[in-house]
Amino acid sequence: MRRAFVWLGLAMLGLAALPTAPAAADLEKVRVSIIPIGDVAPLFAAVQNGYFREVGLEIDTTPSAGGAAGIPGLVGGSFDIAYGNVVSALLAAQQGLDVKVIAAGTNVTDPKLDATGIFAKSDSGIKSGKDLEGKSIAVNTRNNVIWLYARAWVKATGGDPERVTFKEVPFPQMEDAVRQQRVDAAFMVPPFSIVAAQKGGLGKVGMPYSDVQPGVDVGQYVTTGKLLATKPDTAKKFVAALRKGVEWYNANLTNEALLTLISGYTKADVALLKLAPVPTAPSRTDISQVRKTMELMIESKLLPAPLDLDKIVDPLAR
Amino acid sequence: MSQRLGFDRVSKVFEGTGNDADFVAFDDITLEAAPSEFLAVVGPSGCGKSTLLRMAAGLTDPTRGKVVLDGRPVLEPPPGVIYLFQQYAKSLFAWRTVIDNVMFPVESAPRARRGELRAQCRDYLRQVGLDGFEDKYPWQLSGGMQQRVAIARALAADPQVLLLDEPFSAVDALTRMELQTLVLQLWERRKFTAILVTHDVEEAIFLADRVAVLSARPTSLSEVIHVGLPRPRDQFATREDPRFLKLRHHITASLLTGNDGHVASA
Amino acid sequence: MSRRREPLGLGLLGLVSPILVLCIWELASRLGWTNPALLPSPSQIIAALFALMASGAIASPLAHTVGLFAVGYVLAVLIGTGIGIAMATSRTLYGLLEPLVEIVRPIPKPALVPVLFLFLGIGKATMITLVVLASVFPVLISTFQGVRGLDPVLLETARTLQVSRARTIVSVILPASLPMILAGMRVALGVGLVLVILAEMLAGEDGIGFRILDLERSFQIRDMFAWIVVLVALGGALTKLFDIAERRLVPWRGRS
Repeated sequence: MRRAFVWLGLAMLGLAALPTAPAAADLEKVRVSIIPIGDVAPLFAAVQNGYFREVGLEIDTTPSAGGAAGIPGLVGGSFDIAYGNVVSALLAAQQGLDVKVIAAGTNVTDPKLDATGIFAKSDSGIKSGKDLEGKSIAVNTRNNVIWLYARAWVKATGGDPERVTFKEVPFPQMEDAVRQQRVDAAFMVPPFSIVAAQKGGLGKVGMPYSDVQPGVDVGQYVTTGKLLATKPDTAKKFVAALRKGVEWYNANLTNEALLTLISGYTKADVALLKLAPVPTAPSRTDISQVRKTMELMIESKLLPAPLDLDKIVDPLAR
Repeated sequence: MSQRLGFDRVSKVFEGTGNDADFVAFDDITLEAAPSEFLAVVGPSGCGKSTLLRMAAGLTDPTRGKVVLDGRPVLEPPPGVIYLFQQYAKSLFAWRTVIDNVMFPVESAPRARRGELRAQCRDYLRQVGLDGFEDKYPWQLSGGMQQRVAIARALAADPQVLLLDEPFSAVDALTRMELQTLVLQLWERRKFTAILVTHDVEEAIFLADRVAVLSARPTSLSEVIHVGLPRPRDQFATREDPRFLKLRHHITASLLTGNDGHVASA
Repeated sequence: MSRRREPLGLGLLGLVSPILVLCIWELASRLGWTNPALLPSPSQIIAALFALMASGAIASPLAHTVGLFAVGYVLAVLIGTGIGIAMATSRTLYGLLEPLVEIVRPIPKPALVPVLFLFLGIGKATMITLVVLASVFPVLISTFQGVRGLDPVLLETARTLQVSRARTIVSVILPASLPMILAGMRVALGVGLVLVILAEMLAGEDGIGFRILDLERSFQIRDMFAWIVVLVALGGALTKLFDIAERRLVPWRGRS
């Protein structure tokens, strides 16, 4: 009997001696390339609230200028998951890159709640795509969803996209670029578009997403087919935890905690964020909208022929 | 046309840096070359004779005393005083042809005179024996030929005083003799004042009317010897003349013993 | 004066190692050792290159890059030579300019891009300025050292021949320092080309740099590599042209 107690005591000592650091060694590290914009707020919310940790994942984020910049890193092995846009994902698939959509990022369902837009200086006299001929629009990268829909909007409002110059400016720098006349207009997204609208001097002249394709599925999280094949559980856990983040996000749209979170990784002014609503986030990717974008890409000669979307958009995302 | 160039109590001191003492190149030298005279200056190596010549050219200033050209002090390179460098190769312009090198001193003349000046330069080249080499580049010529180009260029600059800084020390003995003969011919024709600095005693006697002998450091003027040999000088007759040999003996002995009686070190 | 011809074998030797590398690369691609999405095989790149040339799409970006480069390079050479000679011949100017040169020179020029964007906007002015800033310093430094290193005999010759200061600079100093100036210009050639591509990526609307970025954005890696080959060829052609020009300008080089 005493021997048993001794062994028990030793065992407890042993357990107590084990490092009690929050099982850092047990968490699986997932490297995610993100864009520092409102789209990824649900991701950061999930991280902050511990949803990833609960399922054994540790998220390591790295900012990039956009999906067009993050996807090469994904394919090259620097990231496990990248936040990107629908156009870049389809272009990647077209070129034979092993890219799969696994979770929704952002979309624009209600034009009344579309916080994105083409902004120009209020005194510039720019009101349509026609006015922008011979001028420049800032996009975060070319050949992506922002660029494609900006061009479509220019065309839809009477202008020739070939006569408009598209300059690459990272999202956080777009407002300054317009104010300082480095570009004539910029296609901005939240939270920067919200902040810019609140400060005077800039006006929204158009909303490409709502004007061209209401309901457009704009951004998604992508990964490689290889990761889906070799670590399917990791992918499932990621999507599940992310969805919890989306739910929390949607339930806290006006909550100061959310706005502070967004301000933290985007450096946008919290006080200004409070003055306008942040958009809701989707939990699922709408494949029919992806199809519409694909058709627009074919029409714009960005894609030669339709792609098999079922192969590209993983069931996890739907 | 020629000028009188003289050194009036000239001294040159190079300031020592740090712990080094000041270096006295020479002290209190008074010497004059009369118009059209051929004056030679000989001395042991390192006695500062080149520095003396550079002062005459206005390239450096004396520390004390002054250089006087036709009554006026020399403060910077005076027109008409032409310097023939020891390193002739470095003084020629490698990127120009021979004729363009010779033309250099007269290039700023008005366009109208160009043709005439070019013909004149061709003639100078002929005078120095480089007929046919007008379009060659300096690097295509031998050392002796390069020095001839420098001489032709000096002629084109219309010298009243020609300063020769050991001009033949870097060529072989035979070429040296040819160049010496050439210089004498040009001097007889043009009658400029010539001051030659050399360590070759025979050369000094052969070419000059008078030879100034400098002592070893601290350099001063030991003596000035009147040559007195008949002109035109001849490479054989003059060099075999007994008076030539006596002068050579005297000057060489003077150089070897210095002015205080014992054999000076090299 | 005819040059001794190199034995043909020696000339061909230079081709061996690049061809060897290409063969290994092709083999590696075919064996699946490389990721085709990131590194296409040489045969794929060559195919894309031929398609590019056949379509004529090579003309406009090439012209744009060469044009931009030419403007920036010429400006850099003029400014670099001018300031280099000024600093080498005038104590005052040296004292005034040297601190400025020493502050700006070590700054990696890409670091100045945001500042340039601010003052010059995102366009041609910034691009040309970037090229000039990068290319001017090699020219300036080697011009300065070339002039400083001139044999004093040369300058004294000019002095004794009563040559004015202006004429000394133009007729003596400049030709005499030409070998050194050209050495600096050669370095500036390489540096300038790198910067023009970078400038086009950041602020351009056309040109090789712009096209490379564009193709990267749409993941058309084979075409992107084809353009990289064009870029390498451009660099090689410019260097070759430079060699020819140099031989004509300084025939006396190394032959005193």
